[in-house]
Amino acid sequence: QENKKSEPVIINADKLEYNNKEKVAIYTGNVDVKKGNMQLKADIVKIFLDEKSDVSRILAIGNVWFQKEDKWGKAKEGEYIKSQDMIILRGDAELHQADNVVEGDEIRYIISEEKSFVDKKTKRVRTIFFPKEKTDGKENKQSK
Amino acid sequence: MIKKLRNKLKKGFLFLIFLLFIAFLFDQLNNYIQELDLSKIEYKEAVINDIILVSKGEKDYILVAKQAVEKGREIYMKEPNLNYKKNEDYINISSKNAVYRKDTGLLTLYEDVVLKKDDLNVYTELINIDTQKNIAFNDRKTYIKSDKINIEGINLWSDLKENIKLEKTITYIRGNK
Repeated sequence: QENKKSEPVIINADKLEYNNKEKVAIYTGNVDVKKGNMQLKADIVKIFLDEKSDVSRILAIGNVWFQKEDKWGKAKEGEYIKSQDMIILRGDAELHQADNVVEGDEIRYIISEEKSFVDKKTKRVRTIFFPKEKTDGKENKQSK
Repeated sequence: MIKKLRNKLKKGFLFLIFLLFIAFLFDQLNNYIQELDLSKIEYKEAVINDIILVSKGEKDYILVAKQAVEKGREIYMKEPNLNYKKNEDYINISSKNAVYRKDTGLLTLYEDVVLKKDDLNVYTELINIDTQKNIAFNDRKTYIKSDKINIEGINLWSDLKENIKLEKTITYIRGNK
């Protein structure tokens, strides 16, 4: 976990506006953020730096899509809060892992614990779990 | 006797008028020649070596340059190094060459341009500084580096205070050590 933190954040975007006093960088246009095996895409991404110029918070707005290993999610807005190691997806939020999917108005996903919490405001929470197909030895014997 | 005196006076008066006319003629001629001369003098260029320009006031700045050549409305500088301070804002700008346009107040620095502000360093091959609007801009590849962040892109714009804009950017934010 420790070396993951030291991985750099790489951001590609059409435009950047950086304010040195507020330590905020605003990226617009095809924004693509990568950090290790995590990737985030959105129309606008605001990166807030702390006093030591470390990333403290990332706010993504518009067509937010993110992926980490076999999990991916999308929403209207997304937020990464470093202190809580949490990603929050807001607005038609979906979180997928393999074939399983969770949908709701807001999904909070704790990265290190790989736990997600779903809230409903207007939309009902919907969860679809696909039971794993039985592929153990017995079945193979019978079919022979 | 009186007749003689009158003649003498008449001659003297005529002579005086003649003298005045000659003086006037010379004066006019002299002016004409002077104007001719002045127009002939072309202000080619003034060269100042090892220039140090210090300005104190609302904006303090110290400009040091190996050489400054004034050609008409432009001042060309070699190895300029500008320390600019306004209130708490402090910027250092240096390059191999620069040209300052007196009529527009536009300062263009080119070749190995380095701009330092707080912990941010900006590197590029050319940067324009509008000294009247206090903004900097270019259309070149530009690199912004600080302890934790490296940014590259083109079409830099800055208000020389807090804001920087760039296009087609790639940013690298180093992780925690």
